[in-house]
Amino acid sequence: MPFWNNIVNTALLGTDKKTPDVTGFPDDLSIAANTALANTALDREEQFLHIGAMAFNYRQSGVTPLQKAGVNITLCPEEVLPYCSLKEMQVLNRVLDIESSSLLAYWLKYCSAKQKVAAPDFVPVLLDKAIQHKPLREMIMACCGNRGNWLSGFNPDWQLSAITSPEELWQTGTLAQRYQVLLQLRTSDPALALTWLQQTWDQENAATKQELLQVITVNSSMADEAWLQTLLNEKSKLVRAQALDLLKCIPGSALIQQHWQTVSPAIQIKKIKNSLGIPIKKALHFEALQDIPEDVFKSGIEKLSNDKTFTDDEFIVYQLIQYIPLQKWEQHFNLSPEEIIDLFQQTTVFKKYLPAFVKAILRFKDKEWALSFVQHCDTFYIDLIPLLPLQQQEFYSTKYFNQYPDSILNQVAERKEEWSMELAQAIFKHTSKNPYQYNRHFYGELIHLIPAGISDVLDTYTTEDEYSQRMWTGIAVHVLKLVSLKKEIQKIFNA
Amino acid sequence: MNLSEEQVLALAPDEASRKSGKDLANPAKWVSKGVDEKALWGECQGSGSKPYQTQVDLSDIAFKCSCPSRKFPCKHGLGLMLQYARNKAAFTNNSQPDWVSSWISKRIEKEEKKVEKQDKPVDEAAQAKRQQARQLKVSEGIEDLLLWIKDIVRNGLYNLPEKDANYWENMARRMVDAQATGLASMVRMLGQTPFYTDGWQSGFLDQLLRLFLVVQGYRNNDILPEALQQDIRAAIGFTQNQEALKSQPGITDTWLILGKQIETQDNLTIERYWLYGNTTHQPALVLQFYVKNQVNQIQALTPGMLMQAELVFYPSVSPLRAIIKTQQSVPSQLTIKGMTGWQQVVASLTTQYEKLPIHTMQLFIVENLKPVWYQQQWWLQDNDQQLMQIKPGFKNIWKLLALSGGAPLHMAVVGQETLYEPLGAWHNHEYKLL
Repeated sequence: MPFWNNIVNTALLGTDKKTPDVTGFPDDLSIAANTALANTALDREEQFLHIGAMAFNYRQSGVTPLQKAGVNITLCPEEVLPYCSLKEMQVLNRVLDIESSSLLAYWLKYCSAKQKVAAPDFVPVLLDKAIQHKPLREMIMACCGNRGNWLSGFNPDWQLSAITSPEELWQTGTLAQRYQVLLQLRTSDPALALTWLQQTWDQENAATKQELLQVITVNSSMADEAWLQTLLNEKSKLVRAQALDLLKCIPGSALIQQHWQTVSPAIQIKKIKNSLGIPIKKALHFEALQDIPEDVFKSGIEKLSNDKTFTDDEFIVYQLIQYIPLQKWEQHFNLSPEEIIDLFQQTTVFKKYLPAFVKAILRFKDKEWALSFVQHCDTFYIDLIPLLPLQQQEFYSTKYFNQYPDSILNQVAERKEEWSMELAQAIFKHTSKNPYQYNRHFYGELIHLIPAGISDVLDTYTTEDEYSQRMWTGIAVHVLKLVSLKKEIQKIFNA
Repeated sequence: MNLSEEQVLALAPDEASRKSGKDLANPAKWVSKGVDEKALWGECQGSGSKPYQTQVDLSDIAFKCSCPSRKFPCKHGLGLMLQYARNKAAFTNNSQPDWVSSWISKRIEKEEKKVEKQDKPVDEAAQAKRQQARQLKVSEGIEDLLLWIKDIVRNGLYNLPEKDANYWENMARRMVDAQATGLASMVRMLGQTPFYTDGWQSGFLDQLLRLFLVVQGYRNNDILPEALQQDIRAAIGFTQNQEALKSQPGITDTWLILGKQIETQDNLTIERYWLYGNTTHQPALVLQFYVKNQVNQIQALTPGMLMQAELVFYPSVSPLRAIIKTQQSVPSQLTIKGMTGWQQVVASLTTQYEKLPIHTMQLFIVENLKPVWYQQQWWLQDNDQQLMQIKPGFKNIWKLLALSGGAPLHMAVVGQETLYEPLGAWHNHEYKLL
């Protein structure tokens, strides 16, 4: 608009420096403007203000929309799944307000299970949540339906969640996304996941290698061994150590075979006979180690004992037991797990090896041995609890909670199933006394595990001082709100 | 009262109140609660020993709470209404406690007193003398303002970014002294120009010329039509007696409350409610003001809600600002007829600017608009492929886009010239606030 530019330029310089004129004015406007400029009763400033006001109103009165053909927006495909009901969306609204990712995951789980999608106006806020809470990303994208994919194409912050092909994500995603996609593939198709990793391995840096290599712990098998062996020559010390550790998790690997050949002759069963020469019981017998291959020590086994209750040989055996799959002992002794545990418990000399067995159980996630250990060993190892059947987990977590509250809390927080009322009460009894450590956020993140019945007993928990009590009362109200929302999600989706 | 949760939350004065209100929508925090046809009430346990008494007059959604908050409505009022919106069945007590009935009866008495006051005779001579004195003050102030404007024009705009706040504030105060508070606000707006952004000169000049037009209008008041005189007086800051205005006949219609905008100036909070008459297609702007530390019972209009009301418009050549004379809520949804495209919008604006060049924001309902991305900006495209730009920084673009899905929607927009801000959109026949 040349006429308006003229006005702005004159104003910018000032009428002292530039005399107002009608340069660039359209004919009809310049006729009116010239009248003002010809009015000698007005000083120069007022003349300018008059023509400026005319130009201003001329401009604003003559605004026209921009006519532009070919500006388009792709149409979002119709949803295949039905939208959630108004009540389902209202409860989501309240879930979003309370800022609990656990409760959000709970809503999303129901939404997916009922094969529904969220109403369109909630899609942006859900996509924002997907940025904040990476583990929820997949569930959120599912619940946002076609609208979510379509919308994320417009916002760079959401674009990564719009990539649906795992291959594309593997090739172009962030490290976290690549890890996630590789982990999923490793769960469903371990061989293909290994191939993907091998294909890009040489282009990755050491930190990425370490991160991605963790995926191999899932469904590891002999098929991984050859490649892991090659990684023992990697430049990065940390990657080499990680590959070595992975090899120690593959029961049939050459490394474990070598460990077994070293350790198995060291512990033998001797039959103890009575005076008549009739065998009456079995006992363990320790044989000194012979010709230990140097590779055993290269794999991280220490030669010298750092514990005065172990000789150097005993210490090597103790270390090696940690890497031996438990079934090998069953075959070696031709005994059941219970019988083996009993044998080791018989004497103090062998009892000291039991923690090494526990480490092996944890390494190979041997649930059968874990249960046998818990049932037959004199000492209780709380680390074994997550490997037990659910009922047993509940029983032992509750039983030992007061003794090991923090460790058990860490374990039960990883559960997928809701806690029993008995366990929840034991937990709340402890956590309510420490409202600074176990704050609103703590309960918000674990609400999927907290049974609804807890709301009936919350007022029975008290703290030691008045200030903490006030704090706990506030937290208890928050927990009530969380529980009530959780119940409402169930009720509304199941209605 | 038939408000949805979203509508209750739209009453909140700020984000912090929304959040706190939601926290208080928890039955565990309420010692008692009840409702009858006139009021909604509850007692909320706060940090003190005595619970806060919160009450809502349902006839016109007015709030009162014994808490010390100066926000309106306070978090307790919002929490109580949210609970009611969620679960009406939980409000089983139907008998007003004393503290509620005494407040309700006081409100009724006050209404009656207002009527009595209107009936009292006015000392017309004293009133005329006061008006004359004020007009003189305003005239003197306006001459000073014109000199100041001319100084700016003479010296040029280029050195204005270097001026400190006093430069603008001194003239604004001069206008306050001259009892021209409207002009004072316009001067302050000049000082709030974003001087360090590209193109500030054009926006500044728009505002300066509006100011000049008001000054010129007042100087030539005698030759202006009566309605335009009223517009000029309103722009200067002459107030209108609301009770007198209410006694005038208004426009009765079903009004849709399309949106609310909040602006804070020092201690003053201004709420702008944009309304649209379903039958008359008349837009209306209802303003509410409240001052910090001043406890008022202000009428709460709920965006997204329909109300059957009589609105009286302030006298103007292009009536927009209005007050509510009578109202009652209407529960059902209506189909609103809007303009068919941007051509109708600009034609309407041209007519308004012809009558009132200082006219600023206007509300429009435009059918079949869709958000499109063009030249690194979001625009609203009508059925004729014509585009108008969405106001830069519009924060609800993603919600609008999500509702649209690339398809056209009927929208309520507020704007002027080439920039518009969507207030809400109809999605599946339901009005969604943005």
